[in-house]
Amino acid sequence: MSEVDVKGPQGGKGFGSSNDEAVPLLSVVGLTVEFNTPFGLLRAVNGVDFDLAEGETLAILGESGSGKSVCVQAVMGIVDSPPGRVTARQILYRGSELRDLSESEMQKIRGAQIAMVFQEPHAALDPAFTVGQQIGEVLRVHSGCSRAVARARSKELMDRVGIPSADSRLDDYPHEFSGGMCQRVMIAMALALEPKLLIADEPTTALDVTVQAQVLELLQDLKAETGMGLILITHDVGVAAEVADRSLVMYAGKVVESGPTLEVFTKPTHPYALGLIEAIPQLEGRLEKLVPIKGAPPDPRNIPGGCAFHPRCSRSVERCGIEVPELRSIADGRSSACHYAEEMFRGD
Amino acid sequence: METDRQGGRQGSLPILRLENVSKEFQLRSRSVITRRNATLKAVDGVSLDVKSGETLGVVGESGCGKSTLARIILRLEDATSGDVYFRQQNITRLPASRLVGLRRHIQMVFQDPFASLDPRMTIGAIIAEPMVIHKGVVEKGEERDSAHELLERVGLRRQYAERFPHEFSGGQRQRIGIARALASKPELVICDEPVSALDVSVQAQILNLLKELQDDLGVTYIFIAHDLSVVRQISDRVAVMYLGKIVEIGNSDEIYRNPVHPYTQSLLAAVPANPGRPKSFQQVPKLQGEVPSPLDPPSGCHFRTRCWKASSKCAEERPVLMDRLHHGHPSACHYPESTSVDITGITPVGRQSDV
Repeated sequence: MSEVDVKGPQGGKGFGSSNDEAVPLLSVVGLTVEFNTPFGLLRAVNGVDFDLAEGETLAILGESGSGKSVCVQAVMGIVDSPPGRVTARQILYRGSELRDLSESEMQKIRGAQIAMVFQEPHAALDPAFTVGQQIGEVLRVHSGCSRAVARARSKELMDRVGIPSADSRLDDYPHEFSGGMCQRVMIAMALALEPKLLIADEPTTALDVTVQAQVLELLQDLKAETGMGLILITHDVGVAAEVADRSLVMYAGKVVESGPTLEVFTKPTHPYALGLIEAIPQLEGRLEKLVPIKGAPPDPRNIPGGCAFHPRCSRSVERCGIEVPELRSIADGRSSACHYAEEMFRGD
Repeated sequence: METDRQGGRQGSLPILRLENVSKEFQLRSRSVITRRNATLKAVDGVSLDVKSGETLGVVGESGCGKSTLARIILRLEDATSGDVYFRQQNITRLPASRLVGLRRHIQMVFQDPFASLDPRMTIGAIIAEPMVIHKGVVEKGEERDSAHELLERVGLRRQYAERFPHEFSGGQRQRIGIARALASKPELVICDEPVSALDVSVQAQILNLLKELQDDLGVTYIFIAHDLSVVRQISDRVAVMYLGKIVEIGNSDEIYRNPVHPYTQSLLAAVPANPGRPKSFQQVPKLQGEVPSPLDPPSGCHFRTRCWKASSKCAEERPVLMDRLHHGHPSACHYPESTSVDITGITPVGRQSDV
């Protein structure tokens, strides 16, 4: 495999570069996303805060409908409006407010600074163009380089993401690639301009377990090489544990728990996070009975009052149905939004 | 006896027996220039027994033939060669007129609970339909009551019988799918990825339900899934498939603790460990590349192109499924090797206190 310098034509310079170490790569405060639907207002994300440091990996974990994907789509500015409505106190990328940018300025950020990899690689690629054309397009649009240069760089990128015989495969169409190889093409496209932040939305969910392991390893290698920040959206606790420094657990549009991944899942301070761990079958041995969380995730149009998790919670008391628990610091680097988080942390 | 060799329970006769079952699909290229016919061997000489009352898990990556195998057993697909015996009766070439009778005893739970229920039928009608088709399962006129009972049995309220599928969540729909599968009182239920479309918190409910129903009704399951932890939880025995062939089969504990085929080992090694747990089989090399095209499988052992042990023998000679190590479970590898992990002292996460 050739050593490729994955530096984009524009490098990472320009917008919002900052020498201040303390400025996080991304800082989101009070993010709310609502959709007007024929059945009423749907609040998909409800006041989410998170920070991501340079070079850090953050996992956003949650079940379907928890708002984890919409969260990052709002950051990327790709939520359609209408019907969507994004509000936030701040969405700072390297200290600069993303919402102040015009659409054309935002287009320069997308891809060059913040890139995204999606869940269904076959659906995210255009079936009518070869993968070489599609990777090349990213380079040509953003840097205005010639077709020949774009083609050469596309080949280098395909080599780097581990696509065998990249030379000949440049001219293949997406349908000629397997799911795993398509995902590598997507990653090559995302990396083409050396973004500072990569957002991967369920990048391995559609893949077989052995291919998943390969793609996760590739993402980690690339991260180590380029020093980019990574946000990984997943529903799989095992995947989060494998790659993420920190994890954010979402439920019904809110963050219910966050902290260093290992701590969150070995000593959860929110009953939902604990429930998720207990519900997973173990590879090491058969359990007499799994401990499921009762009920099902709520309909986002009809989220229970008080703590949204209270109807499914085994610890729930009267207060939980009335009073909304605040997300608050429980210990160093740990936050939880349960009335009884402190007790859980102490082990009561 | 073959059944013992595969780690099956001794004694009782198998409810299902597959002998050297293969399924080939003829593919025709429509292009004039490259016109050639290709043969895709989706299932390639599979033999196995399923004992009454047990759960046989079938695992493998996409394209390994696990779903085709299920379709052959249900006679939704005809085997190209080989024989399928259900309760000692050869059903491989049962005439179409007798398939309805067969399917009273063999039912299926599908993956997608959103696609597998007719949106225009009430839940009650969906569950009662098998009892109407298969006469004699319940007394005439009692289908409705039986449907209500089944609803309660799978953890739903009787009143739901009047509602339509769109009113239910994914987990509830899968419960309805299970109730329908059980309506004709089948002896064998094939579950094809029954929990892979469900959220983790709901998945555990369905796995527990399937187990409870088995304990109560004595039904036999063939459980097909790609999630190795899920298969571990539900199965008594496990068959691992690769490119249409079984590469290893045996008791669940044996397969998960002491896999001897390199493919099984690397499959288990690829599963992300749960937080705070040691990863299994770390000494096993990470599997490179992807499953080769089933249109043009490698000679000899199909796995050799991805295998770190492959020798010239593997390219020439196809390894048969047998117990080379006298471990009690067979594998199809020329160089099987024990890699048992010491898992004593490992307790499940989050439950340290009550184990």
